[in-house]
Amino acid sequence: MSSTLKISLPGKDVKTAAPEDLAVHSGYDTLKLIISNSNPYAGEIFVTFKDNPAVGIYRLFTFKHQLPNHPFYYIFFDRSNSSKNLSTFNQQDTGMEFDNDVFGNQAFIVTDTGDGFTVDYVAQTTTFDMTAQYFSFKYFVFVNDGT
Amino acid sequence: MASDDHSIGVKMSNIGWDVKSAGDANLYFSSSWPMLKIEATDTASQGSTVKHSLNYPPLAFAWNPVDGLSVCAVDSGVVYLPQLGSTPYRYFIFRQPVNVAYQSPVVKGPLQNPTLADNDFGMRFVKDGKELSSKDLRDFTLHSSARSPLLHAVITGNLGALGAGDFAGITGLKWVPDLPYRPVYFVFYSADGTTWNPVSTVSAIPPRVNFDTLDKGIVLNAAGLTGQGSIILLKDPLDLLPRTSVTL
Repeated sequence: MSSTLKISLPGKDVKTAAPEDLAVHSGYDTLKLIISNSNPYAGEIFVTFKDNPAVGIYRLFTFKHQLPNHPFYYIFFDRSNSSKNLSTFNQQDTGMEFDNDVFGNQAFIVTDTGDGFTVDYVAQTTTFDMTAQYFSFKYFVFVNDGT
Repeated sequence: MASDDHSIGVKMSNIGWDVKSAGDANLYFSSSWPMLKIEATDTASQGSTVKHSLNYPPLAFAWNPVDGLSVCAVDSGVVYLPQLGSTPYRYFIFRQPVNVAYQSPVVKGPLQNPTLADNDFGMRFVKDGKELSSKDLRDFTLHSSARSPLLHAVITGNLGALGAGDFAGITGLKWVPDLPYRPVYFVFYSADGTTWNPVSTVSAIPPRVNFDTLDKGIVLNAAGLTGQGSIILLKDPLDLLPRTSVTL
């Protein structure tokens, strides 16, 4: 016979509370993110443009998860620290969005590699001067199966 | 006997943190707020619907390696998987309604990253049929060597004129920061109170997500619309993550 740990939220009777009213219920699985200093499963990639890059593809970051499965993860692209108003790219100057972001002929591309992911900056033109811009990505990689 | 008093309860810190001084983002759990519990997870084709029996619109994600994460449109019986391509989705349905207000207390603590300590201390609950000695964290529902998303708040209700800030007077819904960090969040809009659709920053027209430069609030901008909104916030800081800097 298996046992169950239940901890109710304030004001709720643990014996009768619905799962939504429990802080913890060991009968339900959770998303789990390994805590690690050597290979952080949650982190930030902070990209600063010192100059306006020539046309090309630039590898910004490679993450390898070292897990036996293909994990579920999500990545936020964060424009909220941008040093310039991106309205020239028809984008809001602040914001967070999942995964890829494309503006004008520039793009940040997240690519799944099976054993992790890469983040690239793709410059198809130098029309939009990226000098002094900065952006960041926030990633969270869970051990849960993603496929 | 049940109590509404948040000063009474149980909490456990993440590895490396002193439970007596850890802030909310560095607790593995606390009896003052819920963990996100997975009701169901499986794979399904893009554009399909997944029935559930929760009788409320739940928070649900769809993910695949090609299209990344999508927050799903939901109602009280169905999760709607988006159609972005052809790669099947892994979906997660959580026991967390998007349309029921909730507010947890804020527990402030040191914000720097800890030096990780011995993993031999902690708590783990193994799934039926799995070994407690397993090194695979997927074999556990709870494992204190991991972090699991925790709910901070659900701001929900009828859309109305926003108060002070960049969007004063505009119809919408707003979360004014009460946490010492920017959290992971998800935003929904419902025109009819039945189907709840995810809202992003990308849309050129409302409903869309904006950020208030004055108070750093998260805004559901619903100018010209009627209905309800929801902003779901987790105790997962976006600002305190280990940083890798790249210069081009």
